[in-house]
Amino acid sequence: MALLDIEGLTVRFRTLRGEVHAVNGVTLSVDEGETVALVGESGSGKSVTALAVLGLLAPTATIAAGSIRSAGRELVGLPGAKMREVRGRAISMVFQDPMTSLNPLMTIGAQIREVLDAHTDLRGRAAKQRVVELIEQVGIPDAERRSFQYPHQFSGGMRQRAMIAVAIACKPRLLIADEPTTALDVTMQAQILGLLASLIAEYRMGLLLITHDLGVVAGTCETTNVMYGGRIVETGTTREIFRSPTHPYTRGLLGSIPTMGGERKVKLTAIDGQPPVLRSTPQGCTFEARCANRIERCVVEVPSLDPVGDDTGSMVHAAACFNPWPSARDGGVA
Amino acid sequence: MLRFALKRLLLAVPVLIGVSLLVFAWTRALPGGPAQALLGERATPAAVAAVERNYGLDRPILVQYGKYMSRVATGDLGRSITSRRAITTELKDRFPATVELALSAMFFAVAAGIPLGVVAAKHARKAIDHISLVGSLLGISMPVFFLALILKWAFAVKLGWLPSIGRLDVKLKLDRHTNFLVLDAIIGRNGTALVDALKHLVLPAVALGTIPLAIIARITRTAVLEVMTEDFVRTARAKGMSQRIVNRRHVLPNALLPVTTVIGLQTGLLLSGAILTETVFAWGGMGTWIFDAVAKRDYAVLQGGILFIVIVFVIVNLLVDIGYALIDPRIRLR
Amino acid sequence: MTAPVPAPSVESSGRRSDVLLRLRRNRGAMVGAAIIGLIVLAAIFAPLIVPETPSKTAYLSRLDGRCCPGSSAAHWFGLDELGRDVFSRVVFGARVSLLVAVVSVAIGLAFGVALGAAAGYFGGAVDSAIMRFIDIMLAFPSFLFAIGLVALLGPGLWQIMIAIGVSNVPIFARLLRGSMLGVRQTPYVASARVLGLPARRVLLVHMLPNAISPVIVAATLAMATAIIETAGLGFLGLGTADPARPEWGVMLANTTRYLQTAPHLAFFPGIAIVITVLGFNLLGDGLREAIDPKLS
Repeated sequence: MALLDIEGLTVRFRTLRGEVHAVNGVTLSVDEGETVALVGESGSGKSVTALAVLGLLAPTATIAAGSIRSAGRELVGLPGAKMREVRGRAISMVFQDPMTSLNPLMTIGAQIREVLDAHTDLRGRAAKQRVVELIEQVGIPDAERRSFQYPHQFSGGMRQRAMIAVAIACKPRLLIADEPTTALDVTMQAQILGLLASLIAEYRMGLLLITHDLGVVAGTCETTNVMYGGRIVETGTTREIFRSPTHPYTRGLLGSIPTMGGERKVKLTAIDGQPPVLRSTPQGCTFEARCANRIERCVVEVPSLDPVGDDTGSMVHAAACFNPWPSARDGGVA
Repeated sequence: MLRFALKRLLLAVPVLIGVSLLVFAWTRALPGGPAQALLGERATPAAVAAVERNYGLDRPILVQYGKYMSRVATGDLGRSITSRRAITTELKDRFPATVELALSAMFFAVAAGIPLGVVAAKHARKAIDHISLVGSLLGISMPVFFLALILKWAFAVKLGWLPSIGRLDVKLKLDRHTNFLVLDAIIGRNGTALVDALKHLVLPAVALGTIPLAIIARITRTAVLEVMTEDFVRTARAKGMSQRIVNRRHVLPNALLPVTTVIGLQTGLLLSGAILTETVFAWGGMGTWIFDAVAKRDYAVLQGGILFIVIVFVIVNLLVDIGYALIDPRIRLR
Repeated sequence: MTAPVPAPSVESSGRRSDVLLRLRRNRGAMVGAAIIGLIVLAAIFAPLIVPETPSKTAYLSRLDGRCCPGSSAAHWFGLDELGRDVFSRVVFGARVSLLVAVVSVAIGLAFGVALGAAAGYFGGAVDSAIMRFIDIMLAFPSFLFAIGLVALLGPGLWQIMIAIGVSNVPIFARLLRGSMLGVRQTPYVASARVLGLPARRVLLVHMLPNAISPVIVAATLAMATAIIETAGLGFLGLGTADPARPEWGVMLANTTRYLQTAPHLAFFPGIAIVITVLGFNLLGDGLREAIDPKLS
């Protein structure tokens, strides 16, 4: 049984100008101990997917279709009290901006304590001890003194560590990290990712990492899902995807990363155009307008995720495209 | 923290000096003069000159200022020309009256305003919210003396439920230790006086407090709504806590921050409003005292009274600043 | 990073067309504007609307020594203690209130914006000096400050306008200075200066237009306050005594002792004040929302 099983998730938002289709039929899964990436640019719907898992969407959002199952239990439509048992305990989330995601008027220790209060029987000195332990565990030195400090007294990297402490306090089975390193500089990024990796290994947690940064994905996740326009357009092991991206969008993403070695005169590929804000479910492929590979079929039909190469039925590497790049499996050039 | 308070205090000193100079110069610049006011019809130039020399009013302004300030330092604020009593004695009578009124008004405004604002925020965009918005707009559009007149007409004149003037029934005896009548009644265990004093307090306090109430209710509503959209509220929910706890621990404390600033800012409104309210209810506080002194050019009263009010105003603002620093750890701990 | 549109769309656009569009959509603001429009019309066409001049007294003929008849067919708002038609006086009172509102706010704006802009633009010693001066003025509650000035200058319409105007100066000055300081930090101003554009151009074309929006809102709300303060001054007996220029606050001044017998003397001028001020407050609020919409 998968730790997390999202199937055909569709989320719509009510806005002043009509409905926005943020997520359209997203399917992905995370197994115990598996690290899965959900990659996409701003507006692709990746954060919405993550928030939908824990039922943290804004009141203007509706889950129009699909299911989200955790260890077999259906989360969509779960009554409030039951959902609260899941949050922070079975599934935890780390948010992007630790400065705004922490209550400025509460000490870090108190904020970690809250999770323990909500889900465990730990009180008093035992709780305090656990808090200090957690702060140490995420790599914040001088833990006891720090537990009495406020968020603004921490540096950016340390605040993110504190957020992680909050998230792992009750040893969740699944950790969702929404752009955990975007607000940090590069050295911090590496440290935080390293921290996450070690915690995941230690607790045998599953990780769903939301990011727009492929560099972050490369070092951390076994599986990668590429998202565009509310849909998953390519999925597979990180290795495969990096080695031979078949969907034109993925290819464009990878091609836009500057590399250290290599020739200096190589131009970075840029993908023309802007990501769409979908006010209705489009007829054809959402990427079609910006796609160099597009054919007539792309305009009228929605491509579904099909295995790449000649692997029958195996979804180790799949892409939703009618005219994908040949994969290395086919003997094509990566 | 102490450094913060001291710094604020030091900054207030030049303001106080500037203020006292301004008030002093102002009293001297008033057309006519105490001599003229005193002599009335008998004010021949010679008589006026004689009176002025008598009171030391013919010396250069800075000399007069210096003498006045040195006397203030010893606690001598002079004597009222109209009542012949020492200014300090008058202050002891009148200041508590105004403060009692202002405090009661503020208490009313806060005790009713904050809950109203929270309720309006909870039911945002629904009927209750619209009604409260209209109500608060009406509240701030109404001149305090008109409201005082309406309340007096409705409850004192027409219905006769509450007394219409003064602080206490003239027939009641009460030992005035502090001149805060409610306090005195409690100290002297005088039940009838207590009830009577409170009855006299109701209408003026409600009249004076309604405008601050309207403002506080609006600010609370806006603050609560804004805080609800903050990231850390989402983090709190992600921990699995109920909305009620989240509201209590995360939303409310943060929403009350801007509200506290506003409460501090209301002091000025209360002081101005007190003058007008005291007139309608013949309250016997600072307002009417100073006002009459303007007409009679009673210098000592003007100098002492206005100076006193402004000093209190500055001190209250100072306390509010410090209070704010106490509440907000971001200011308290730099 | 984020979902496309997670909540009702907040387009904080400062463009004039957008602002006007949002303003027109805001029901409160439109009601406020309508109220103000009506009052302005009433003020302009006052002589045509009212049955008699506001200063016409008919003490003996109408009152028979008793005060004071209330509403009647001939005198919609009744008569006051000098036999004058209250309705005429209330309508003419609109002229005084509007005049004071506009002039006093204009005075406050003129000096306040100049001071605030100077402080915000030059910074440093100029800023400190100006702000110290402003701080001293702000140590007095503004209504008390106005009372003080009127005591100094004497009663009268112009004196009131100057007094309220001057008491507005520190508020506008501080507002504009804050706004300017904020705008100064923005990248586009920094780039304008780096490009070596002349100071005046930077000030007028780049900084001022963006710093001015909160001032527009404050000015509208200041007019509401000015009307209330004028009435307050009138109530305390510091208003204009000219019978041809009735002022709502002055009309309210003597009504305390007639509360039992003739409440209409207080009621009608008071309601006039409330409605007018409400109009300005509604408009001011609407402007604030239109310029900087929030999710509420």
